[in-house]
Amino acid sequence: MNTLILSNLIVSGLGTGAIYAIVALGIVFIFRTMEAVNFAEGDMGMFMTFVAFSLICLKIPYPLVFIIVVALSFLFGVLVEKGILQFIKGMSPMAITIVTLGFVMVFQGLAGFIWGTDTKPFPPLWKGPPIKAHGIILGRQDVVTLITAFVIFIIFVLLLKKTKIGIAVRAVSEDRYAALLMGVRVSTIFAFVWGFSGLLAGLGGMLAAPRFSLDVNMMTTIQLEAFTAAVLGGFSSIPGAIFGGLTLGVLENLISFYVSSSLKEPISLIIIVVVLLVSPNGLFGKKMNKKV
Amino acid sequence: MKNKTNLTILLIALALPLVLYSKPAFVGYLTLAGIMAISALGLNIILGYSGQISLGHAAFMAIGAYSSAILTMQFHIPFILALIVSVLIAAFVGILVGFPSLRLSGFYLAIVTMALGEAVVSIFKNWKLAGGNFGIRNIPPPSILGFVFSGEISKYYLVLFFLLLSVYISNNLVRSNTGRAMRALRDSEIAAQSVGVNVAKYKIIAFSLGSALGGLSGVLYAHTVTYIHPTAFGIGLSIEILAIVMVGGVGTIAGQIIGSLFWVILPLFIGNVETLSSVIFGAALIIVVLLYPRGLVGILNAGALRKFSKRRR
Repeated sequence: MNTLILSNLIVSGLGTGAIYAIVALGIVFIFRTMEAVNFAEGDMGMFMTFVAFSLICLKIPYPLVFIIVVALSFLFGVLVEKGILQFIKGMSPMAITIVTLGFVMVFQGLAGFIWGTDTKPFPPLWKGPPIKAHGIILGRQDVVTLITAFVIFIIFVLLLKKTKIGIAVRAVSEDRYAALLMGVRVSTIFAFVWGFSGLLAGLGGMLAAPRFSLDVNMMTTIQLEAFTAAVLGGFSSIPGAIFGGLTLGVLENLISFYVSSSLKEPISLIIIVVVLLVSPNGLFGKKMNKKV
Repeated sequence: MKNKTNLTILLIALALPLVLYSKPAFVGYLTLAGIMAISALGLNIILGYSGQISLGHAAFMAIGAYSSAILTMQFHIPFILALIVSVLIAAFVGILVGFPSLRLSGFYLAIVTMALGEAVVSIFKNWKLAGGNFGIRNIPPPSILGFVFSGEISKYYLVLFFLLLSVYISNNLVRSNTGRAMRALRDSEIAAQSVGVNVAKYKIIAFSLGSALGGLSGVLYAHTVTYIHPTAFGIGLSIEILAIVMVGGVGTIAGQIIGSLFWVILPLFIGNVETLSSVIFGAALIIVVLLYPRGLVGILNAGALRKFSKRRR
C-alpha cells in the first residue's frame, strides 16, 4: 500500500515536473547562448496561452489550436528578438536581463488589458477520467504532459546534435565571435534560440493552464519553480534543466505529502538559495571562470 | 546654479500642498511618490552605486511595513520607536541578504534575491500575527509626541521630511569614502579588490543601507495607506521599483524622485488603467535600457544643456 502511494506521488510529481522542465529548458537555452536570464519566459507562455484561450473561444477545435499556438509561440519569440533585443546585442547580459524584466511588465499588463485580470477556464488537451493501471492513478493531462515533454526533449536533443542549425547554435554558445568568423549568422541563431524558447514557453503555458487555471499571474510561480529546476541542474546544462524539473516536481509532491503541505511553496525557494550558496554550478553545470 | 535649482525644487515641494489644498487626493499621490522615492533611493544604493542587482527589494518594504504595523498595533509601541526598530530589522535582514552577494554575482544574485523576496512574502502569508493572506487593516496614522498625522497634507510633510533625510544620506554617501569604494566595486570588482577595497565589507554596507531605506519606505507606506497585504509586496513590486530606478536614472539621486513621480502620475494620465500603465512603464524601462541608459534625468540634463549652449551662442 505504501509503495502504491509513493509511486502515485512520483507519477503525478513527474507530470508537474515536466512542465517545470519545459519552462526551465527555455530559460537555460537562452542563457547558454546569450548569457542573459530571461525573466519573461513564463510570461511569454502566459501570453500565448491567452491567445490559445481566444482561439478556443472562436470554436476552433483545441488540438488544432494547440498546434497553431505552438507555431505562433515560435514566431512570438523570433519577433521579440528581431524587434527589440536585436538592438542591444553589444550590451552586457545584465542589460538584456533588465530588458526582460521590462517584458514581464509589458506582457502582464497587455494580457490584463486585453483579457482582464480574472481567472479563465482552460480545457485539458485530453479530457476524461484518470487512467488506472495496477493501482496507479494517472491524470490524462499528466499523460499528455509527459508525452509532449518527452517528444519535445527528443526533438530538442536531435536538433542540437544532428542538424546544421543545432551545431551553429552550439558554436555560438561556445564562442560568439569565433562562430561569426566561421560564417555563422549569429543574428539568425539568436532569433532561432528565442523562437524555440518562445515555443517551449507556449507549450509550458498551455500544459500548465488546465492544472493551475489561467490568469495573468499564472506563470509567476511556475517560472520560479523553473528557475529552481535550472539552478538545480546547473543553469547552463540542458540535461540538468530536464532532470532538475522532474526532480523538483517529485520532491515537491513527496515533501508536501510526507512532511507538510504548507512546505510546497517554500521548498523551491530553499533549494534555490541552498544550491546557489553551497554549489553554484548545480548538479550538471560547468564551472565558469570570471573574465577580468 | 545647481544649489539654486535644488532650493527652488525644495520650495515648490514645500508649497505644493498649499496650492493643491482643494485636491487632497492629488496630495495623496504625491505622498505615495515620496514613499516610492525613498524605496528607490535604497535600491539605488545597492544597484546604482554598488552594482549589485536585487529583485527582492519590495520584501524590505514588507518587512518595514509589517514590523511597524505589528509593533504599534499589537505591542502599542509609539510610532517613532516602532519606525526605528523596523528600520533596524530591515537593515539586519539586508545584511543577511548581503551575504549571498559575496559569493554570487549578476543573474545568480538576481535569482537568489528574487527567491528570498518571495520567501519573505510567503512567511507573511503563513504567519497568523501578520494576518495571513488578508494582511493588516486599520493601521493607525503616524503620530509623534501626541501629534497625529491624520490628514493628507500632514502625511505629505512627514514623508517629505523622511525623503529629504534619505536624499541627505544618499548624497553624503556618494561623496564619502564608502561611496567611492562602492562605485569602484560597481565598475570592476576585481580592479577594486586589487587596489585594496574590501569588497565584502562594502557590499554588506550597501545592502544594509539600501534595505534600511526600503524598510523606512515600508513603515511610511503602512501608516499612510493604513492597509497592507502580503501579495502587494511580491516580485511585481520589486520589478516596479527596479524600473523606477532605471527609468528615473540609475546612480542618480534626482532620478529616483523623478522616476517615482513618473510612476505615480502616469496612471492618472491614462485614466487609472493599471494594466495599461504597466505596459507603458515596462516599455519605458526597455527604451531606457536600449537608448537612454542615464534615464529621464539624463534626458532632462541633456535638454537643459542644449538650451544653455544655444543661449550662449
